[in-house]
Amino acid sequence: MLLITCPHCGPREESEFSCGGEAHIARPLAENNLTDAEFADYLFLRDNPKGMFLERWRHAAGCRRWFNMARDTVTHEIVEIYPMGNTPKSKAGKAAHADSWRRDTAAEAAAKPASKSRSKQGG
Amino acid sequence: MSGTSLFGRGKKDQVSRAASGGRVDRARPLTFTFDGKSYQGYEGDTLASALLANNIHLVGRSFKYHRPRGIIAVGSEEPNALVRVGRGAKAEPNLRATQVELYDGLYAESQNRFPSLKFDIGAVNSILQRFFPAGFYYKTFMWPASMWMTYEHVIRNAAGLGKVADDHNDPDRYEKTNAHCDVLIAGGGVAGLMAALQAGRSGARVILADEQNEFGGWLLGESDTTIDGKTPADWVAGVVAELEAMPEVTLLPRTTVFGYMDHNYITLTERVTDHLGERPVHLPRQRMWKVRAGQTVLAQGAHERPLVFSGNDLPGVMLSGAVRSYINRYGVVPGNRTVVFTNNDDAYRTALALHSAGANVVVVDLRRDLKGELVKAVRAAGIQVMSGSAVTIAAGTQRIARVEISPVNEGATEVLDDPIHMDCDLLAMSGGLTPAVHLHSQARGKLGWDEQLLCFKPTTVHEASFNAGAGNGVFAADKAIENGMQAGTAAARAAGFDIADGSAPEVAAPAQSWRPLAAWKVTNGMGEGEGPKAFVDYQNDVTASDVKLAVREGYQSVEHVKRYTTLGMATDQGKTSNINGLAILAESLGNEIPQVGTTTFRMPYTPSGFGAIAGRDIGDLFDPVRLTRMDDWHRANGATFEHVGQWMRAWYYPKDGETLREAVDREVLAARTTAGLLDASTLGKIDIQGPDAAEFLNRLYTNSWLKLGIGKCRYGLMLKDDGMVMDDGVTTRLGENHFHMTTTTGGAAGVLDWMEEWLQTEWPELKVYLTSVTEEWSVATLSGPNAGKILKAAGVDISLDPVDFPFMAMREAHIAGLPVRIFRISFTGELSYEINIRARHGLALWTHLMKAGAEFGITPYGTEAMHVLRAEKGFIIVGQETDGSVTPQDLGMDWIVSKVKPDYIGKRALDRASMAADNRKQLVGLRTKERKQVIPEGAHAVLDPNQPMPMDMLGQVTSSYYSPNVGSSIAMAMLKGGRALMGGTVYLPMLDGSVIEAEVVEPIFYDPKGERING
Amino acid sequence: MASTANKGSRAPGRTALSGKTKQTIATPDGGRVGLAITELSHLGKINLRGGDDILPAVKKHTGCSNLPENNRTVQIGERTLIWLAPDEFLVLCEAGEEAGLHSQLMLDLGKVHAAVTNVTDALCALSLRGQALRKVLAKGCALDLHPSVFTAGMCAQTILSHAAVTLVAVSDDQFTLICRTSFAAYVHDWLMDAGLEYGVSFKG
Ligand SMILES: [Zn+2]
Repeated sequence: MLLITCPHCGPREESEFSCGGEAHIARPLAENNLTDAEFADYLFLRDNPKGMFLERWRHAAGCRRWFNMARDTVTHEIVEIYPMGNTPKSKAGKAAHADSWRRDTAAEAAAKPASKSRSKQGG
Repeated sequence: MSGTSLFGRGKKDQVSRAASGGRVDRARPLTFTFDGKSYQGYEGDTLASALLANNIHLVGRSFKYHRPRGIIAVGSEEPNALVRVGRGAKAEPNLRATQVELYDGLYAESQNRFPSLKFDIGAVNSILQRFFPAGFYYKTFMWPASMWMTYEHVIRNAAGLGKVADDHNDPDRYEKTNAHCDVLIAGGGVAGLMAALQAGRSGARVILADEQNEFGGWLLGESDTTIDGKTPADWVAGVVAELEAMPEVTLLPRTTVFGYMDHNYITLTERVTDHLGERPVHLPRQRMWKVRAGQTVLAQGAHERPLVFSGNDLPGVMLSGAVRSYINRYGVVPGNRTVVFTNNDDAYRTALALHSAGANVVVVDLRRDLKGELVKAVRAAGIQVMSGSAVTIAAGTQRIARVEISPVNEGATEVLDDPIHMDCDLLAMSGGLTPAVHLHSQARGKLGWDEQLLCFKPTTVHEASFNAGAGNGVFAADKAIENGMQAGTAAARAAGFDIADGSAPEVAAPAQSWRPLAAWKVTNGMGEGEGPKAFVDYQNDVTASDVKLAVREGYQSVEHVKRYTTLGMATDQGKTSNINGLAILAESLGNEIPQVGTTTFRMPYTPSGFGAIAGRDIGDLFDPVRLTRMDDWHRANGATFEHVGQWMRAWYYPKDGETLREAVDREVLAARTTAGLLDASTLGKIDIQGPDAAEFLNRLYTNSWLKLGIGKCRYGLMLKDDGMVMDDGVTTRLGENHFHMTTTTGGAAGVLDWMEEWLQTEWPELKVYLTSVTEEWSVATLSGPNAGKILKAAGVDISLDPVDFPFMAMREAHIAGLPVRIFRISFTGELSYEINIRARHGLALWTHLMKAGAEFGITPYGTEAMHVLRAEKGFIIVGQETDGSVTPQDLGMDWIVSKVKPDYIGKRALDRASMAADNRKQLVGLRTKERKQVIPEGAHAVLDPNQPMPMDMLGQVTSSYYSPNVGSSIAMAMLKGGRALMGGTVYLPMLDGSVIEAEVVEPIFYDPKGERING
Repeated sequence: MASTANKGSRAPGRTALSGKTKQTIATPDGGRVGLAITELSHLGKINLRGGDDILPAVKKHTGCSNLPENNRTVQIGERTLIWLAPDEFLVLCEAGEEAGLHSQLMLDLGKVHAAVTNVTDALCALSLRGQALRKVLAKGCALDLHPSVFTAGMCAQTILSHAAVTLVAVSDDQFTLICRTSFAAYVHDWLMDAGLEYGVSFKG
């Protein structure tokens, strides 16, 4: 069982957390007009690497806050914990982020220019 | 002790007990029962030492061949002496007699024998042993698969270990606890004690655990060693006293460290009262510790290896070090005519101990050139030493009676001359030491092969951990004590504490070489597989021939051989057999041991009972039951309950002798003819505040929320981003920036988490705060044509006129002087008021409404009636009609999906081409041809009931009830292309061969125009 | 209805553990009671969410000059601020004062992005006292409760056995435990059971 240092509450048992899976998946908007296949990259495809993995976690039984974690899935070493919305700072974390196939997806490309005008999207 | 017992007692009480010596208290005799006979032992004995004191070696039958087996070891590595202790429901099987502390009245039985230990029918397996080779189970019981159940039954009965008590709950109390420390030390021998002392002196929080009843480990069984001039026991007592005086040190004797997980999460089982005949009721029998340790010191010690020779499993064949411990620690001399068979120096200490205890001793040593102090001492004592020789065969029936001793070549693979025969009653064997690296390996530490010591020992660690002592391959006491000290110092420093190096205590012990001779399988002079069996793994009955056979049959990987032969897979995890098995495998493969490698070590180190793992998570404490504030009333009024998630909800309220159907019919009719009252307190409630609250809801729900008026309610459907329905509920605008959301009972926690996730991870720019208020409000739902009249009678202080208080509106009001929020929403289609009140007044509100409604025949209804009422109206229940693969369109709820919003969660997914497919499952109603017949929920529908199997399924019935208001059964179903089937007939084949015929209809059965909503 | 109405408004109402009986189970050896549990009936509780700009209003109504730091509480007289999360606090106040405090805070935070929610009846508060307090809690809580680690004035949201709880260390041997009222019966039963080893008592 992992010992995870919540950025707000400090070290807590893994059982207090829930894992939200792969981090840094940009969500395309309906208006981005992605093809079904491109949209499937966002909706269905998830990485499961052996080694460094960037994940989202939530301190479910504590402060209920989400954060990102760079974790080695082989050694279970937690290399870095960093806030939502940020990218990793550690060397291994940066490499994992840069090397992900996701950087080349249409979903990610669509999310970038749209990000400025995303605050109001209701109708 | 009176000495009288039911069974009487033999005259030769404790015939093998030495007159003096050992750590047992001869002034405190204890009576115990083994296999129905009464015996005596002493305080300080284990069951094993007490049995040996009574000259009992035969204590069990083996797993596969039911061979007679005796005690071979003195500690937790014992593979043979598994016993069942206690009676009735309290009986516990598979305990190692070497670890069971004796108490007065202890009751134990041998295992794996029928009808008795001395005459065992299963031993016929031993005669048929040619037919039970390696892989026997796999070969015999592979095919046909349909016979597996039969085979399994036979195997389980024939083999298997001890049995737990049938049909009894374990009446003992077990607990769990969490703990934190800077340094956890596994093993309280000299190395562990020194580590604890150093870490303790540094001020660190220390936990020291040892599986034995007292600290000191192996040295408690040595009479030829002193530490700082004291006997080991005296030195240990001093150290323990110092540790006990340290407030931050926790000493846990009788505690096995059994698991080592990620990030230094360690699990221990403490046997709190197992050793007591009378167990205090307020204490647990066992306690599992879940420890998060900053650093660990693993000082688990080492296990002596048996020698692999024909007949090495006879009772009376024991490990040399164990024999020495029984003499020195327990004052028991396990034999009189003894043979010491060894490949190393250590057994010479046993020869001297046996000699001192008055036994006749012969040493048989596989080595040729014997030198060193110990050999000299043994020869000086007049003990015969036969070098370059081996015990090639041990013989006897239920105990060793004689041995054949032959000169052999260097690796003991060839007999060089005729054997001599010698009578004996004890054979002490020593094949060298194997460090107990289990915890180190569980923690993914690496091992390296030591060519000198012929064993694997720790090289690098994976966790924050240090190895020390014999478990680290440091066998000599003086070196082990130093090693423990260094490890304790290093661990304390790594945990952030200051401590000087210090100097280790002076140890005086006989000089000895720790290097054994590599002779892994001693020949018996016959062909392979001929003659008596030579066992490698006693507990799983795996012989040297089995390992060789596996290799001949093509197995090469150690992991495969392990599974094929079951070598090392027994409950002892191969503590005594691992290295011998590997070495024989390596030889057979023509490979080196390090290249063959080891198998994976897994927890538990020794078996840990489920009682301690479960702790108090049993019975009422197994899972919380959440109760509403009206619960007392429901109970007092005879409600039957159902679990909804963790909530306990009133299901229906049977009146004298009513069946479920009768009660529900009555409740359902009342709600449509006068009024019913439902406890809806369990609905999830989320308070939403912030300037972007409306915008947030607009993105969350499929419909439009920006223009909802203050005081107005709206029904919403929430999708996952894959477009599938995840929850529904009514949300009310309390103010410009303030909403009150309701969710399903089961979905409450999930919906709040879901909303938080979007706010925190995707839309952090939205200014919205969420707070769960589920328990803040008790909710009574008053529903039926007389609901308004009852509310008036209850004293509500607002106008209920539909013009003033229309459907889908919320009003703040008072009832009986108490402030309430009343929501005019309806899950029944009747005039309904959901009355929310501060929870402290929930019960008062409920009883007040029941009183006020009495003259109208108000009827409390439960969740079953609620289900029927909503099904009559065709309202879905998320999780009943939906299963995570259902879109709003599938439910025929296109009306709630905005066509104009540019985005909401799930919008893009709904636009996928596959979502428009005609053959998606769609919600329909079913009207049975036999109108009163109720279709079982979950029934599958087909178009042609006469088609061959497997039939082409259309889908399943999701809701099905008898509706007294309609006067017939009603059902909802999710059928492929369901809407196109409208008006057609489907068939529902039943398990009994009958077929229900039903017409596909609109999923609404009552008041289709919604005319009853205003009463 | 008038008489009922008056009675109703004055009635204090029920607490989460109104149905539980007063009980003392001392140890068989020496009659020790290592944990005394008392329900803090109707203790006022306001959930407060917001950033630093809520401080003036909070200060005005609780007297505290700073919002509590992570894992800490601030106590001024009868009012306690408990840190729950980076922008979330629980305010404890005198029984019966919560409605007033709630509307005052709502009023004074009207122009600030904040959320003020009365959760007095949603949460149950228990006072736990005794020498064995930390040992009993350790049976179900994986937090490091050592008195040098979880010191007086600290708080934590965590798990006790199978229930989510907020623990507040008032002193070395006194905690306040807060849980959802629907879990209160379970928490009560669990504590009474876990306390058996050291002796345990409950009063409402
Ligand atoms: Zn946290």
